[in-house]
Amino acid sequence: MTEKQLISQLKSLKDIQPSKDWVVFTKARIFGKEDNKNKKENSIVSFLSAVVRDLQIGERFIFNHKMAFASILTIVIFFGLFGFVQNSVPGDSLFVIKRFTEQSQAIFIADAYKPIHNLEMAGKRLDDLEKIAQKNDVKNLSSALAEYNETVSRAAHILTKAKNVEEIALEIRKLQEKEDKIRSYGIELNNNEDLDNALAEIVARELASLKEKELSEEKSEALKEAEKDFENNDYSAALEKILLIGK
Amino acid sequence: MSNPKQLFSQIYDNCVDKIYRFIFLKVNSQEIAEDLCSETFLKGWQIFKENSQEIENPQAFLYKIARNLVIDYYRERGRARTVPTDSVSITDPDENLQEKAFVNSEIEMLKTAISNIKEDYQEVLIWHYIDDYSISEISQIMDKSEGAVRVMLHRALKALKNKVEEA
Repeated sequence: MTEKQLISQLKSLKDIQPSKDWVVFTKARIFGKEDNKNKKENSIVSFLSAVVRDLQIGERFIFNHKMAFASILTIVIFFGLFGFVQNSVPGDSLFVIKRFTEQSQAIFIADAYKPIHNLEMAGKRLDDLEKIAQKNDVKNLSSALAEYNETVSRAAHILTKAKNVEEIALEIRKLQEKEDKIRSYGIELNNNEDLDNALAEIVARELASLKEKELSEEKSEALKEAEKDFENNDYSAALEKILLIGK
Repeated sequence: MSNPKQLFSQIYDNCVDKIYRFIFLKVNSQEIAEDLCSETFLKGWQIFKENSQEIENPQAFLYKIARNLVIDYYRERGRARTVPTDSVSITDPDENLQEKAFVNSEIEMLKTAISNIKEDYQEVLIWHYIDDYSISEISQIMDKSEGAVRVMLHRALKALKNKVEEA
């Protein structure tokens, strides 16, 4: 390579440039930091003077507006309590309120959606179990397991009334994934007999319905597979295959 | 225009490409070049707003900050100079793919070669051949005589040629 060629190549490196967005952003950041710092300094001074001023007039102000302050305090306590309630798990004293709130909400749900809602609630109980496992909160474990089994049984009780099999399959899959996660923490979860029976009933119904239809060769094969799953008591796998056949 | 912010804003607009390129050719990474370049201007602004009257040559002042930051970067992280991982594509849109690939590989080789020669040589080449500074301007930036800069430029070109041929 000659010197001339090298110089020519060197000159081509002029094309190395920062992106326009970066240039604009960096400039704004450099001067923005300065502006923010000034604003911060000014705001600290004004904040301190405001605090002193407020302290001087605060006592009189609170006395004059005691009803308003009482209301604000009640609202703050209410929302604070609501936060605690939402984070409570089975075994906590506040969990009763959480369960009551959830059951109250269920009143407004149409009957057709209640089976799905109940499965979602079972999912929430598994979330509680996960929280307990993460905190190693052994004392609440048995309560949480009992609560989960109870919720699943409640869901199973009305599951056969559900019309939308696809949603059920989806919720069941979610539950299974969550159950696997809980098991990975070393917590034993037994199969819920009520849920198995309800699923068996749904799968049997869907299989019977599919047998009456004319199916392609491929779908007939899938149906046979679903029947095998059914015989092996793997109802969720059978349900998923049924959904694929139906598509 | 006596407002330091306005003045520095203009300096930023004039110098940002050059400072970025100067750093990029030393660190061979877009991400690091962006970080160090923004730090250069941030530091520059912190000093400039207090002492704008004392800074005679803002470009030389910024190059000095950038140079020190690059030295700190290599010193603190104990990093060896590396082959670029995030390359900047420099191609002529009319060339076919094979030619583009060839040109790019040559450019990459050149960038690697630059980052592997002496600091002073890198700088004098970048300033003279890429940023188009005259010998006189470079002598001001480097605080050296024009003769010394000429000699350095000659040696730098030779060193670069050797590195390219070695590759």
